[in-house]
Amino acid sequence: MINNNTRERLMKAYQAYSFAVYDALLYLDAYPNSKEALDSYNKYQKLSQRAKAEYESKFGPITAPNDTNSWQWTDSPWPWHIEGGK
Amino acid sequence: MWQYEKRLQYPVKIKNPNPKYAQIIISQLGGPDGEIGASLRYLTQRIAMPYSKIVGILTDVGTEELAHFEMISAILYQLTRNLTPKEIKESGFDTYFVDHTTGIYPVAASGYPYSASQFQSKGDVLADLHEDLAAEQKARATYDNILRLVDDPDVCDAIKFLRAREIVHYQRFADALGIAQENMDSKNFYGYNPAFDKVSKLN
Repeated sequence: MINNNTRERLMKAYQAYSFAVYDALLYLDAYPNSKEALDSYNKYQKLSQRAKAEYESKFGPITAPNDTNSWQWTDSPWPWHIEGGK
Repeated sequence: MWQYEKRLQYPVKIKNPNPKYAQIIISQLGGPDGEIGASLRYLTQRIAMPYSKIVGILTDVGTEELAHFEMISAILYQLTRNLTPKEIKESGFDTYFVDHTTGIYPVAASGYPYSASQFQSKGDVLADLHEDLAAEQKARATYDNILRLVDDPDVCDAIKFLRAREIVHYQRFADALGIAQENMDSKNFYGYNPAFDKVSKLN
């Protein structure tokens, strides 16, 4: 169960950081000169990429991998499945 | 979750506008065998699909269809640029133009707007996969018909790419059907629906 808690925690971190990235991106579409939005975008992009890498190293790919020796893309549950179940 | 790439899957570069061609090709945007219906078919069907590899196939094909929707939109945009009212009237594009100007709106060539009544998400593994196989053949046949009616090489190049993808998708859905059948009761594939029944009704 520790495993499932870690999975949930790491996924939540990635969801939060990547949401912050996406929200900044949306704002920058209209306000490309906003220094505040740009700083926020860069800050959360870094955190988001780190969180994604950490999740993927433990629980499998979130996006199809760039380079891999074995194809595990369909081994992990799909996002609408309840954690660990079907 | 999806992410956008600012590019077309295959390049579209049409030198000569032609609103008559646009009126034919728009069927692959919002017609009965068009790209948006295809995308919605696979992206809805995948949720109830019990086999992970098949969910992967439905996700990837459903996503690619959105890229095809974008390619058709690019073709329509390029075919309808710099038109004069005279060209619009003479080509027959006026019946679309009056409602949508040169904006992109999903309709069939007949003008009938896109409708979800043109596809099914049955929640039955075999019924859904057979629908998908048929859908790819119908889209391929529509592209064949477009190639019979269009003789601009710039347009045909992109249409031929899209046609070839229908055949590849058909092959991947044939693989999906094979994967489903491997997981089902080989004595009676219709004994139960693994997307709903927990155990075989035969047991």
